[in-house]
Formats: sequence, structure tokens, C-alpha cells
Amino acid sequence: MMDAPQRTDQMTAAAAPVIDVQDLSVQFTLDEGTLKAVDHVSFAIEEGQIFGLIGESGCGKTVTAQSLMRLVPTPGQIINGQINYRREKGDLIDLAAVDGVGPAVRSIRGNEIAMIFQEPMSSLSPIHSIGNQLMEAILLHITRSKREAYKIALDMLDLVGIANPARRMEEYPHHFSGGMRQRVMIAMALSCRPRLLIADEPTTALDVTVQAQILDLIARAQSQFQMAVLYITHDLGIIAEICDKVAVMYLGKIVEQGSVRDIFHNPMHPYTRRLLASTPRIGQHAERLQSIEGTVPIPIGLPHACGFCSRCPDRVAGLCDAAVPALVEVESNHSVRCFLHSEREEAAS
Amino acid sequence: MLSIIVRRIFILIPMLILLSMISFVIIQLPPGDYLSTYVLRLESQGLVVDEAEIARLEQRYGLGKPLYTQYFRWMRNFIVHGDLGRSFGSYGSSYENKPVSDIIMERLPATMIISIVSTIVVWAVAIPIGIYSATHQYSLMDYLSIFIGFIGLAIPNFLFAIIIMWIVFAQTGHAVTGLFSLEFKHAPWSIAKVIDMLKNVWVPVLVLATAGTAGLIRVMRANLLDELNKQYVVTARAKGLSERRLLWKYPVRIAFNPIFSTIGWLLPAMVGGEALVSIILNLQTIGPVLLTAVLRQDMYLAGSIIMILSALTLIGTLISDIALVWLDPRIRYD
Repeated sequence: MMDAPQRTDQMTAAAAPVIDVQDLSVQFTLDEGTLKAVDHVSFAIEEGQIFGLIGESGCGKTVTAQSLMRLVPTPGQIINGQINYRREKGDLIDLAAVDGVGPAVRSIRGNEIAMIFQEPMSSLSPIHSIGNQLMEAILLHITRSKREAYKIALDMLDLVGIANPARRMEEYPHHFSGGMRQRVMIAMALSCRPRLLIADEPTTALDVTVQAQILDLIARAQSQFQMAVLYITHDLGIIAEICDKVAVMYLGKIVEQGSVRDIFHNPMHPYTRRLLASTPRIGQHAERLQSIEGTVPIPIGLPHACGFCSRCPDRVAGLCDAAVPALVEVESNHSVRCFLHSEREEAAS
Repeated sequence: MLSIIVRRIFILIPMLILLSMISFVIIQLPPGDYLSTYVLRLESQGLVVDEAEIARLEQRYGLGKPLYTQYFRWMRNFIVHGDLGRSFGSYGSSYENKPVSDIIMERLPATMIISIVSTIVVWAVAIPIGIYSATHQYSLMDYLSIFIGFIGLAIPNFLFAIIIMWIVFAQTGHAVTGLFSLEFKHAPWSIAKVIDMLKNVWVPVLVLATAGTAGLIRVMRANLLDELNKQYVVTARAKGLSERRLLWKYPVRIAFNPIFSTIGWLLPAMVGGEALVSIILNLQTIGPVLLTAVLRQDMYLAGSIIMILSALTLIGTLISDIALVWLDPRIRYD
């Protein structure tokens, strides 16, 4: 930690990452065995960047997001790696090393890093008014004055497009539709002007027209506040629309990472290719939707092999099922974890 | 909110009327009426029956008139004079011919005090333990509270009462019977009498609270465990709230609601549960009176007690409903 400020000095201000995740591993100790939800994941998000994390259900993307805020549910534990978060004044803090319920992480949660969740219907307390829940974080992090907090909360509701905000503040979540609740959640997340916003599938539970509005709202807020965004989704369309960089996750590992352009125009990992092929496109005639054969294995007691090898059409017998490929930067800023592109194996851990 | 309360009170009135009718039907169910039983008993004891007194009572209760007239007389006497009829003396001869309302008024305060004090003890003990158990699930203390809780549930109250009486007697030589010391037993209510009662009330409270505490720990623990993993708790945590603050503000508050809704059942449950305990501990409460009144067909007494208890249950339910409306905005229809 001593040389941390020095390192930030060497980097140019624009390219300095807000958050730099190094070798993060999260495990759940269950009766069935140890579940490796996140397995040596590394990525960095720069200031003002929208970083997409994509993958199927159960691939570890939500746990990755939760660990950035130290919200991994029990019995999950961060067992390896660093989450280096650069605070506003430039000092680094390793969120993986601090007490998960202590004052250090609490002063960052909701204040510098905020999160929007997948299920707007259950994300708000049913028995507290919207105003009460909205003002809570503001009163905790920004001001002690209730009047000032009320004013900020009102402005935030207005910003996220909720009409008649003064009346809405007095109302309760059951007066709001799913899309409106997600707007409230976004207002809540933005209320302390976070430097990093984590959006965990914020549109998955909403219907399509509302999805577009919410997505637009997040994109507008991002450009207005110039914050970094970690956007988690399984929807490639959303990634293409708003993200700058993408990481593709499979079975707790990042299998491919690069700019949106690279991932869409030059996908290298067979999983990414299959994922892109399974997206229907307007104007393209297809008899059936493409799907990826097989299912995602449960990451408990996996064999020493490439995680995708059982479903991979391009697998090389004797190689893919006998060794774990390493994530290798094969082009500038484009990494892939596949023996088809690099023969490097992952160092044993 | 006010409109809900007013509406609920308006619903309460027909409920109470219906209740009094059912109670009256219960009174009328056994063959014969109060007066003929009374006359029969006096004659069997070889006493002279005062014709004028019989005629006066006949007039007052409308005996011999149609059932509905009798009901209206009974209700009018109750509302105007507070008169619910007279006891046949099922519960000791000192109660013979005593007005039912006097018997109930004599015993209702002690019953309610025991019930309320037990409830406060149950809540004060069970809710913190339940919260601790849920937030420290599968810890040593959690298992310990489950173990002790099940013992509390499994031991019958009357057995527990006997054991406590024996322990207190063996240790101090003081026989715990009754709610009051001898000098206060028949004294009118006073501050000294209340203090004396507090010295004795702990035994029935302890006995009655044990089972209730064990049950409520389980309910509180289960309710809270359901809430702790809800998304809104994660939302609160993600705002940077401390664990203690978010626990009390969100999941505990919501886990309370089902418990509040049971306030209305406390009194009948206590009266049912305390009857055996009261008999063993010789407490001046309603439970034993109701039991003997039913056994001996002392119908004015039994019917009136049932009516008063049911009315108190309805009022208790009203109170818990109002509390719930106040606590949970989802219930307010506006």
C-alpha cells in the first residue's frame, strides 16, 4: 500500500482505473462441496467508462458485483485477490481486505459505489415511504439536515423522470410499478453522486418498453455525472448499445475481454461466438434460434480442464480436457482464454 | 386511517350483538330456567320460598315470556343496571345467588393483570432471544435457545406450577397459593394490595410465560429468518447503513407485524391456559369459575363469562387490527 500513490501518479489521469480487481476468487462452502463462484477474475474500470460483464445465469457475474461492495451473501467468502478502489482524493483502498461490515466499507457503500439490483419489486422495504428510503443514504453520507436531504431526494426523483415527486415521496412502494420502482432505485443509487455505479441486470425483470427507458436513463445519468459503470447483463444487445468494454464470464472465469468492437466484430472464444450466434437479428432469416448445446456445469469439484470444453464444438481432444487455458492478451486490449489462440496454461493455484 | 378505525368500530357493534345472542342461547340451552332451579334448590333444603321475591325476579328477567323478550330483558338489565343474572352458587356456596356481574368484576382484574404481565414478560424475553437466534443462526446460543424453548413447550403448565410450588415451599417454607397474602385477600383494591399482589404474581406469570416464551421465540426467529435474506435488506446494506441500524429498521420491524396481529387472541388463550394453573395455585381468576360453572350448568354465570371474554377478544382484535394498519402501509386502503 505504501507505493500506491506513486503508482497512480505514473498513470495518466484519464486512464487511471476507478476500480482495479486483481485475481479475485469467491467461494461458497456448501454441504455439497466448495463452489467456486468467482475464480481468479481480474478487470479494471476506468473513470467514466461503462464496463459490461456478460454471461449466462450462474456464471458468477452477480457474485463478482456483490464482492465489489462486500455484499456477498453467507456462506460466500473472498478467498483470494484484491479489489483496489481509488478514492476521490486518489488514495487506494483494497476492499477485499477490509472488514466486510466495518466503517471503511460502509463509508464507500452507497456513497462512492452504489448499486442497482435486479428485482425492483423486492428491493424496497414495503413499509417505509419512498422518501424515507431515498433520504436515508443522503442523510448518512452527505448532510445531516433533513431539509437539505429532502431537497436532494426531490431533485433525484425529478432527474429519473418521476412526475409529481413531492407527492411520490410520501407514497409507499406498492403504489409504484416495477419500472417506477427501478427509477426510484436509480435515484437512490445516484443520490450521493457515486464514482462507480454497479447495475446488476437492472432491466431483466422489466418489460421491453420499460427496459429501453431504464437503459436510456442509466446512460444519460452516466454521461451527466461522468461516473464509471459496471453493467451486468446477459443481453448482448444492451452491451452493444451502451458499453465501452466487455468481459465475458463463464463458470466463474473471464473467458474473453476486450472493447465492444473487438468482441462483436472479432469474437475469439468459442463461447463468445456461440453467444453472438444465438442472438436473433432483424432481417436475418433463421429457421430456429441458435442455442448453445448442453448446460453450464455447477462449479463444484470441476475437473482440471477448460470449463467450456464439454459444450465446445471446436475442442481439441487431449488438450482442452486436460489443461486449463490462461487468459492471454492476443491482440492489443483483447484477451481470450482458449487453446485455439494461445497454448499458455493457467498457472496452478 | 381514521376512516378504517371508524369503519371497524361500526363492524364491531353488530358483532357484539350477535355475540350476546349466542351467549344467551347457551344460557337457555339446559332444560328449565334459572328460577325453577332456584326454587327447586330452596325447597330441597326445606326452606320457605318467598312468593314476592319469585314474582319480582320473574318480572325482572321476563321468565315465562317468549325467548326474545327474555333476551331483551337480559340485555336491558345488563346495559341499564349492569345486571347479568345471578349465579346458582356452583362455585362455592358464598356465590349462591350472587349477581354474575359481581363475580366477574371481582375476578376479571386479576385475570387481566396476570394475562398482561405474562404477555409483557413473554415479549420482553422472547423477542430479543428470537432476534439473536435468527441473526446468529446455527450458533451455540441459537441451539441452546431452541433446546430450552422446546423444553418450555413440552412441559405442561400445571406440572410446571406444581414443581415451582414444591421448590418454593422446600426452599422457603412459604406456600405459594393465591394471588394475595391472607391479610389482603378480602381487602378492597389499594396500592398496598397491588404491591402485595406483585409479590405473589410472579409464580403464575413465570408458569404461564414459559410456554408462551418458547413459542414466541420460534415465531420471531422464523419470521426474521424469512426477512433477513430479502432484497430490501441488501439494498439497505448497500446504502452503507450499519448492521445494527438496518436490522432494527427493516427486517425486525417487518417480522413484528404477524406478532402484533395476535394481540387479540391473548386473553382467551390465557383464560383457557390459566384455568388449570389457577386451580393448582388457587388464583382468584376467571378460568376456574368458568370451568365449574360449565360443569354445574350455572348458565347465567357461564354464558356471561363467555360473552365478556368473547367481547374482550373482539376488542383485542380491533386493537391489533388498528396497530397493524398503523404499522403496515400496505393494509391502508386509500
